Amino acid sequence: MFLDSKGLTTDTSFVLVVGAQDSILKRPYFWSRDKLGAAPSGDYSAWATGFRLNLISSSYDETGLIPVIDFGAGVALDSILVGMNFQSSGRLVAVSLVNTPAAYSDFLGYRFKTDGTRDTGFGTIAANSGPSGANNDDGFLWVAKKTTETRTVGFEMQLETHYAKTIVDSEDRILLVGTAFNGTNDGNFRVLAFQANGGSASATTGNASIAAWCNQGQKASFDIIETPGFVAGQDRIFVGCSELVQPGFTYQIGIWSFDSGDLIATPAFGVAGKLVLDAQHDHSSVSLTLLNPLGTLPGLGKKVVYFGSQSGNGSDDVPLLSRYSY
Amino acid sequence: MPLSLALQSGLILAATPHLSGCFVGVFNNVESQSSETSPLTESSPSPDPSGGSGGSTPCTVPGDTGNGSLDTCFNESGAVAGYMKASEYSMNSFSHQNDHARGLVASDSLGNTYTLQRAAIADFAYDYTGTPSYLCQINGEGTQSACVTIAASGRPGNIPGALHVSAEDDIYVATAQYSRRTGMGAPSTGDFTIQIRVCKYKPSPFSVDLTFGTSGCVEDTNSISSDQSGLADGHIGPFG
Repeated sequence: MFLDSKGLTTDTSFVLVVGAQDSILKRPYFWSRDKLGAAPSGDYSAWATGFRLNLISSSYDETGLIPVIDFGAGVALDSILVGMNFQSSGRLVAVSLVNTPAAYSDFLGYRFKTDGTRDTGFGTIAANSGPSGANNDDGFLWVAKKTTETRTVGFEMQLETHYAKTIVDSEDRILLVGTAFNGTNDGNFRVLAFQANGGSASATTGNASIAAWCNQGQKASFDIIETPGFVAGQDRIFVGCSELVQPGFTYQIGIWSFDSGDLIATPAFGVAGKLVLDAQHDHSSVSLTLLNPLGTLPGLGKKVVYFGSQSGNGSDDVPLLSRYSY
Repeated sequence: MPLSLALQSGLILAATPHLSGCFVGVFNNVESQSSETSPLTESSPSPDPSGGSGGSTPCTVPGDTGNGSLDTCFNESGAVAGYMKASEYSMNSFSHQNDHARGLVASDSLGNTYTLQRAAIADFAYDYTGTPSYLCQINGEGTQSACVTIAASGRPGNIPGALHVSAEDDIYVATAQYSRRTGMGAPSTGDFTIQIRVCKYKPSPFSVDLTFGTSGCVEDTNSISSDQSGLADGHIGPFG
């Protein structure tokens, strides 16, 4: 058991706190990173010494803090952690940007075992071909591998925006949402799904990529959530993001609905699975939640709740709530 | 039955008065440096825990197909039915334009919605010193709200980090306190540390759970050392 391995209690009375959560032990996980060298001012691509992943696990009971556990501390990955979550086994899936010489970085997925060590059986990257050197490459999943010569459709996030979100769905699949390169433009958002073991997306196994795009979206302005509990044919995944509309350079918010099983857009939701919110929502910041997802509250119905902002046009933005039936 | 008693008893009110535009049950914490969350200094009726549409004439959304229809029953009598601006649920002014202070939302099984965001500061200043975060509860109809102030620590930061509602409808909030400024315009070199504070709240009546930690909060005593690379270092969780 994970906590035993760290000399801590397995007391199941730990409260679930925040952030990523260990689905077995219900503990909170916070994360940070340590730099390994000095950053050249304003030029992170030249930060050749990279970063050390430093996932911090802190648990709390009713009286206070439980000691910290580090995931992967000291593992030099030359990368920037941007998202993580837990599979039902308690294994931690993390996604990071990889520091590459060019102006854009690749996304890299990796997984940690419940004892905090990296799971070298995860993913599909060939041994010793990764970004961090000969002894540090097993167990990675390339979400998007980019070289200076070739761009691959997938995630390519500008370093200064380093943010993505990672969820593990009810089938332990790994869903990633972040800024992507769509073959033409940078700065779009996309959702990709991968098998639980980090295998490549496969249409036959229902793990095909979700072609959800928010054109020229605002950084950090996206969210992804799944309805609780898995009921075949009813389970949904919602993705929200802010996208740039041209001409005029205005923003709009789009919410997509996907059927969780096959990850195909829900035809009846919005238009072909995409709901474009009206001009009341026009700016950055997107957060989603589900209200009454089990339908137990009478007279309310199931709602997807959007929390974002309305442009202040030079002053502070105005937070705004709205909600929609599903 | 007095309104407050009815609410506290958890009964579904008939003809719940619409209070949109009013600031009902806005709580304000006393800011402090250590435990950060003092007992609430005000009390007021908690939001209708029913989460239902309530009232003698249940609200219905015309043409609602259940597939993306705007819920115009939410804040029905507000400035724009279906929407609720921060000015309608809190007296505080908020802003969350950038990814340092992304607004977060969550819901409980009672029909309440919770928002977490920082207080307004000058855009792009990125100096959050002394700036609190706010947690607000909005009831199912959007007719009542309550907010708590999550006190600033005196350090730059107090950035909303994570918002979670447990299966037991306990509300957990994590904020990050930075040791110095970060983000645009901040010095580009040098380490800084992050302290994480987690506070727990109860949904009904909406209040800090004083049995949790010290006065409802725990603070990470193991400051996280992190790099300073411009934006959003040391997030708490995946904003999940």
